[in-house]
Amino acid sequence: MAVEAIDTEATDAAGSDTSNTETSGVETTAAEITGGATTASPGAVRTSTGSTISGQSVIDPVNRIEGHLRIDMQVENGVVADAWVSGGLFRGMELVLQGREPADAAYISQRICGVCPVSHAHAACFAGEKSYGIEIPNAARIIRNIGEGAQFLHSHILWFYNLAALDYVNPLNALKADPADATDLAMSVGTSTADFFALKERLAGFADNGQLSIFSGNWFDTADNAYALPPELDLIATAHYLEALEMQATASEICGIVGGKMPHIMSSLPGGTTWVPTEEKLDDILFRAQRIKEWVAKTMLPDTLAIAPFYLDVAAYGKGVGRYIAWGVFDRASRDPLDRYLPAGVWSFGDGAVQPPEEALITEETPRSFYKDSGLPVNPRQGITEPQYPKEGASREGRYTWDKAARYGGLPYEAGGLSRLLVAYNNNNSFVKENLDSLLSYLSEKAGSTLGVEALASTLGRTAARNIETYYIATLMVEWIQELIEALRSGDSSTFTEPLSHDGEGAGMWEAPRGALYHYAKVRGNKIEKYQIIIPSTWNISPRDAQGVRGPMEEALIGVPVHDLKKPIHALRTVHSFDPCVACAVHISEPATGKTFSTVTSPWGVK
Amino acid sequence: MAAKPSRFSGFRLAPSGLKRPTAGLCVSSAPGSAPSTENFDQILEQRGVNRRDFLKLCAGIAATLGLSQAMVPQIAEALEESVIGATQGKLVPAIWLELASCTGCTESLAQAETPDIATIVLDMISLTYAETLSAGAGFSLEEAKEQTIEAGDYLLFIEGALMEGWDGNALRIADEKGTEIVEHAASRALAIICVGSCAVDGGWQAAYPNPGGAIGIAPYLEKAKAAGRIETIPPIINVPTCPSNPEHLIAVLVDVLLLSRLPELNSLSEPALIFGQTIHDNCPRRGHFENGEFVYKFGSKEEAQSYCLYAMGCKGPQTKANCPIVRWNRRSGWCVESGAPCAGCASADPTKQGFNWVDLNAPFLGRFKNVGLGGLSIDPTFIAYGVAGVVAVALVIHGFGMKATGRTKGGAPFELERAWDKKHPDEAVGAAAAAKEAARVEGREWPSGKTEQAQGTDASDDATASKGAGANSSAKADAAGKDAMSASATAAQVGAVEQEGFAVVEEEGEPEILETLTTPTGTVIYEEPIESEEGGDR
Repeated sequence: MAVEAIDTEATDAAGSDTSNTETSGVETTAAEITGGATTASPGAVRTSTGSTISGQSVIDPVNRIEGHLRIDMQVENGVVADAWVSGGLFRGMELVLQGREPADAAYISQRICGVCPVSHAHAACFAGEKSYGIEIPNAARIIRNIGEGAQFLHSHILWFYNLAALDYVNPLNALKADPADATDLAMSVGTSTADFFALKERLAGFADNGQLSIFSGNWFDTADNAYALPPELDLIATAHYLEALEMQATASEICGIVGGKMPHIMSSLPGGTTWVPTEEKLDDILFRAQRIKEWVAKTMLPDTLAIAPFYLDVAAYGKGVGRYIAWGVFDRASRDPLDRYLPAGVWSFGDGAVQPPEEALITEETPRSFYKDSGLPVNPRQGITEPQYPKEGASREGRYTWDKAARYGGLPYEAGGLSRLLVAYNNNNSFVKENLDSLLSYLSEKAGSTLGVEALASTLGRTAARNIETYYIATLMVEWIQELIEALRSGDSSTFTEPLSHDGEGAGMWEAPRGALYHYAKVRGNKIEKYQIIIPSTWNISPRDAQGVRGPMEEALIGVPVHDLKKPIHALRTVHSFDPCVACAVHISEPATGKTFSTVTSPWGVK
Repeated sequence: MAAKPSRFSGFRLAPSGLKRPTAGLCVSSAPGSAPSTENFDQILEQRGVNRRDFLKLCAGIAATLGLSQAMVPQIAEALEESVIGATQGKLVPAIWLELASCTGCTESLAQAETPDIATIVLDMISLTYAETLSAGAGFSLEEAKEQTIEAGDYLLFIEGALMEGWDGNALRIADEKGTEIVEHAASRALAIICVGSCAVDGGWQAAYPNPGGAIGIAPYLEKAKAAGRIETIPPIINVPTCPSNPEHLIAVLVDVLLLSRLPELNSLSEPALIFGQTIHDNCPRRGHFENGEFVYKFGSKEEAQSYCLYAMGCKGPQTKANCPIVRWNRRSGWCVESGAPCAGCASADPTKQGFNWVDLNAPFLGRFKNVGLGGLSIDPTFIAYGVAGVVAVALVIHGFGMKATGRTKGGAPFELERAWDKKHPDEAVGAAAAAKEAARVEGREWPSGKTEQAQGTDASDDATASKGAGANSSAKADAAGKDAMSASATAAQVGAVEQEGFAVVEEEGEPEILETLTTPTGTVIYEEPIESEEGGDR
């Protein structure tokens, strides 16, 4: 079981196009970066000196995500040759909602996910409002944008610093940092400074005690030798890890004010909102939104730019299927999904124009999932949820996940921040275009070669794009609060619409931070007859379909370098780049030796 | 090897059967640096211990455990191969298990203010296993958990429900069933803290039809013990609400870490101080309730005036938690302040099936509309006196409360007039409903009931009236029940209703309230006296 790291030429047996064997092999030292202001562009790939390691690699459980996910990978010659992603939990949300009221669905369905409950509430509200034949008042629309936006900020900040960053930042390495040099470095890369002396002392005290707490079983020593930051940058990032905890809490305070509590807000119901925007409360949320916007601009974005050059190799893998869906989020007064601040659209590399989404093209199938039905693709309006765990258990060849295979027009699509931004980018959203182009030109400079939009289709791109989105939403939040104040001033203060009918049906197509979210309700006599939900991670961690076509995350794992079967850090980074919202499992295995590598999270975790 | 676990008994030997991780201690080690021995020595050095002292310590451990001195090198090796660092230090070891959960309780803990989450995991507890927070993943993370369990005497936090569906396969983590994981992790825990309503009684996942077989931790462990799979159950602290309020968790931590004791618990193993009073007791809108000032419609003038949300279905009167006091998200707000009726998410009772907060309280906007209980939908008028009279129970309690505090003479009149409905814009709900109610009580529609005076009645009179009403309501219950339940289950339930109904009796000045409830499957009828908030302990 020992980790092998054989220094031979990688043969790329998997036929992957993500080989990153062309590497300088240069490691940046602390001296290099701390010695000068702008030397932070190693651009080195540290790991791929060539490896023929093969075998199964399993990550189970995948950490720092929502839910239980298992990744099973088959590694051949140092890269992932095949992957199976599975979710390990069935909860049965749709079944619990049957027979209850649309308002209950808005409350209960939030419990699908404690990270994006507001999105579920709003998708459930849309489904309920369509069933009721109503549209919410203008002020309620703005208030929902504010609650939803606050949740996006909370989620993205927490995700980047507190969940994903530990794949790139080693806080224990920060013990070696010189706090004075860290201050110089922070100023030179344009990010905010902190009391680095006090932080180092705190970390030293922690280390001195000897108990590792959340760093227990860490992968900082993976054979991939993948942690590349100089100690000073590790110290800066650790300081901002702690600040991020404050900022995500501040974002949640906005939800707490507008929605009563977070997770699981209470004020959004089919018809509008129960929240009454008084002067005092408007002031409370405006102040917080401004504080977050400033922090994102002065800390989060510069940090992204400071860290990225050390991990340009991460841009070489994790592409995925190259097809993107977004149902759109943040309504404008027009209420047109194609006109949303982050618009609805379907887009693929090589396809050109953004297409408007068609609900009829959505299908789910379960040939490889733990469900009883025929396994044929059906539209969710016809779909049923009939769980059945196979007697013979899970297997790579058979059924291996609680997640259903979601398809659009018969093909797997990626959902999430990258999808939303690519749709907006190709819709000529000026903010998104400007900032993404600027990011790409910065990365091109660091990499010494021109990186186009296609570079975003990678583990690094997916990660960086989400931070650009954070900045966009932080900016919009302040605008929305001002828009609300203007609306109230002009007498536009209605916040609730009563149902016109208690019979009907409809789909709420919206976005969670993790991507396209779909709730469908059929209502009779104000009771839910049928409910179906497709969450973002259902798209991303989708298993194979009847044709054997892999889901987006499975596809993204192909070609990812693995040099430590027990600590496949690059695979973990790739999984995290999707910000999966479900526990599910990914396995890697190697036909030659029969060894496999698995990461497990559970797709069942979502419903 | 059978030494009793205690965190004060020194280093513990990792058993030989333990799977060995490849990683060593990583404190202050750079990526790819030399193997673990060096790092471990560094730690010892930092703590003023040299390697010789360390080996002497190992020898001492061997002697303590009655092992041969030849084992010393192996003990040393076991300690050096730790992935959790030192097994003893100033931090109390802790494991945080996520089962069938939405991660909302972890998310919620991340919002803690004083102390913040970083202080908790760096300065208070050594959280060696937490899927959402841990740096490690997969095998090495499982290893960390295993070593923590071996070392013993850790706090075990459990978030989410256990799933018994498909023989436990509805929840699998790291190729193990959730049920097995919990049995193992519970074996050597100092105490188990069930975080959030799901861990307490299954939460929403246990709501009808409970498709995954959700169950709370305490009831599951009781079953496991009865089946002989585990020997003992550590002390359990239930901390409901959905999600868990971080302030509640911190209160528990303060008890355990700073005061070295378990908090005082009520009969449901909840911290008594936190879950001793109803939301209604401490609600800032309580005054509007007393004045009969209610919101009848969202978006209305009454809503803008922050009137009481009882008429919109607020479950505050029947839900025990101190939300109005501690509030949420660093005290920035709480449900009722955002204009939403309390959904009763703190209602969790691990001792009874079907008492999850969703089945108990949905429809959440329902007051006298429909009260769902499992698959059963109960007629609105029936509920006022009926079998699932949770709302009614609360109101009666409230009546006693008013009586006890001298606010009304002779106790509240059990809503005979429904004072809060008088101002209802819909006549059918307001004056007309009150007239209908009065007629019923006077015996015109409900002939067996004792005629009541509208005001100034004694509580015991109320009790008689409601008991009579309960007995007479079986026909309505039957009609409502048939909609959703099988005929046999309905019959069984209605039979029980007829016998027990819902009664309020006053004895020696202490009210005793009987409530009768069914599980979602309709097969179990539960009935017991519940304690009045005014009774006994105040």
